Amino acid sequence: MTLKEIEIIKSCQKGDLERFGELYDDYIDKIYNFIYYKTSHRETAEDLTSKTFFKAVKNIQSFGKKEKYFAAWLFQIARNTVIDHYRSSKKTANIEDFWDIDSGEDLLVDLENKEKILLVKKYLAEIKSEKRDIVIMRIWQGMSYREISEILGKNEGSVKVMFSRTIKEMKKNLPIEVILLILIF
Amino acid sequence: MKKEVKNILNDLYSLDKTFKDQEEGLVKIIEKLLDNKPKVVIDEKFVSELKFELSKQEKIGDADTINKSYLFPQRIYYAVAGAAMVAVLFIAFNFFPSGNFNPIEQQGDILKLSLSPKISNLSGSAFGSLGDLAIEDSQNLTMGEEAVPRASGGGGIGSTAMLASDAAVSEIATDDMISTKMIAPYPRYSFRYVYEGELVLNSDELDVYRKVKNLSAAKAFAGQFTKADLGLLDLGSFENTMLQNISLVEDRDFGYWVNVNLGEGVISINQNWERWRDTDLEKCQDEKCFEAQRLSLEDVPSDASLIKIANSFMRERGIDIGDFGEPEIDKRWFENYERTENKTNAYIPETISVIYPTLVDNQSVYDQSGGLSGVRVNVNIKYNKVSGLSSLSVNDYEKSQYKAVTDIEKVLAVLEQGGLNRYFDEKAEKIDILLGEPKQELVQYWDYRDGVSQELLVPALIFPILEKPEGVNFYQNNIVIPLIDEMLQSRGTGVVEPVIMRTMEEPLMIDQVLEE
Repeated sequence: MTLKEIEIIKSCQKGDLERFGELYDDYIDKIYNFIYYKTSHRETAEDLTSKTFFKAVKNIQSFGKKEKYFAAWLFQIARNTVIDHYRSSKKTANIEDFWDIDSGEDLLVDLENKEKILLVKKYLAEIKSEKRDIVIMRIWQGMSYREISEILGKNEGSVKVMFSRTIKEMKKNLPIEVILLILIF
Repeated sequence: MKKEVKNILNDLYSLDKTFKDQEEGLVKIIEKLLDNKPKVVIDEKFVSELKFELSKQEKIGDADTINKSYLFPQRIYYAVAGAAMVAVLFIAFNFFPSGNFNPIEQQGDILKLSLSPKISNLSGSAFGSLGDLAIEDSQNLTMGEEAVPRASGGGGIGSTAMLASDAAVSEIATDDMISTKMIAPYPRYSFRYVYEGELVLNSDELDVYRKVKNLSAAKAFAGQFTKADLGLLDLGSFENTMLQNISLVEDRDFGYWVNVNLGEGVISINQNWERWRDTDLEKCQDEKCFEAQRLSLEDVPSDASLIKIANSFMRERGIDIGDFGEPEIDKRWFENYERTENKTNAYIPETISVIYPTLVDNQSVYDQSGGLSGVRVNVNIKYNKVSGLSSLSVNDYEKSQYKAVTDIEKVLAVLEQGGLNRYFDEKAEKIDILLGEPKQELVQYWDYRDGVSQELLVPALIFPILEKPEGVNFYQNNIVIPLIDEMLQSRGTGVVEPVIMRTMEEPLMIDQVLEE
């Protein structure tokens, strides 16, 4: 976490809400993209992004009691918000994001991305949610291992190992074209 | 091999070296897939609206109640000479909402203004003849403030130029040269604009837009303000008042000076100079120190960084960038830099502009020299902060249909000379400038009638200049040809006398006047 972030959070905790805007500017794109890749639907992503930031503003006073990194805290809120959304709408305990929903259901997906999403869906659905998040952050969001490790609250080495194991796990069952599609997509 | 492809391959190789044996096939597939890569684009309107909503959160944990907006400071307190009166002006310029055209809403003791975008239809040719626009355009461009550089330097609208290398031989006209000699008795060149593609003109009539000034806001604010007892005089004694301007000054380091022109519906923001102190520069006593403070090309942020800084500023101030076209960087400084032979002496500006093009009925607005018109956000690259903003305005228009030009030959004839009534010397050596495929957008004109100047937006073809001539200070990026028939009819002969510099007549002394 940068010194600037620490300073801004302290200001926010003292009541200077205006400074939250600086954090918002730094994270809005990352959070929105993360949520979009977990929902594949623009309106849903916007709704859940809004909820994430409102929760962050409301609870920023409590930040720092357990968490070390603001990014980790914010992404955890985003992750939980997505899980809450799917669990409340599907009434199913084991759904964590869009990728867990059965392809046989009528999926709420942006039309322009539907074909490609469906192409990779069955493969991403095979891996656990946490591993899926690493793939999303590393490949689709272009985050460094260090960033991911801060967000997940793990050390960098563990994240690298998890990432490589996940790719190997996917490679076992997939043709090379599909892995590439996932990596680029 | 593309860097992105290489990175992906390296990622794969680090996972499994056997991928390396399949590299040739992989590259083909990756490149094909990259070409079809879908984009996840965040809606800037959503981003700014969410930020605005977040800024209205009243309570953070146990902190005191706060009610702040990033748009503007919301309350201005006046307390003059011990008077108990506190004038509270709540300014909420909602520039781009939808569906609410009520200009004023009274909400308790708070006056809320809602200046909404609105385009209303009028009958055909409702703004009178537009033929004069073409003539005024000609006069403005050949006799106006910028006439000399344009006519003699080829920097933009003029079609005749001297090459930069010839400029040194220019001489200043003297009394005996009046009416007989031009300012530039040196080799001259005429630019001939060439478009080789197909041109289609298939509209009989096109919409012309006129900006509408809404003075109700200025009057409503004046009504509130004149109730204030300032002690020194009774503001209420003045009649039919309008509050023309409001200036807000941020009293903090790197603060701003916000000027709200209620009469024109325009807002500008400048740096509060007293609080933008360049202490390093102020300490300089000698040339060496000043030189050390000069910016170099390496100090200039990337276009993406400049746009990010500008976007961030717009969001923080609650300006909805989703209603403008894609922002563009004003690169004219860089063109000058490129032309400068000795780069060590080349000027690197301290501020670089990001332009957010105005969109009216989904058409971009251009000025007559072919530059994009819109909100201009200036980024100070020394501090990587926005130092100012101009031309943020309420976009209310009336539109009326006018007869469109359908004669392609007529358009091409005007185009060849670079636009309406440009000086074009038939005898001069010609330099051809190739133009690309045009797009139909709007061009801004100023219509001066009955002592009032009004902004008109006229449909026009915008032809991009594909390659600029070398050795000339040529700033123009596009050639603009208005598509209203009567404007092209009134364009005159296309040959306008070049500018002649006159010396000022000697002023009469007071005793001479008395003698006469």
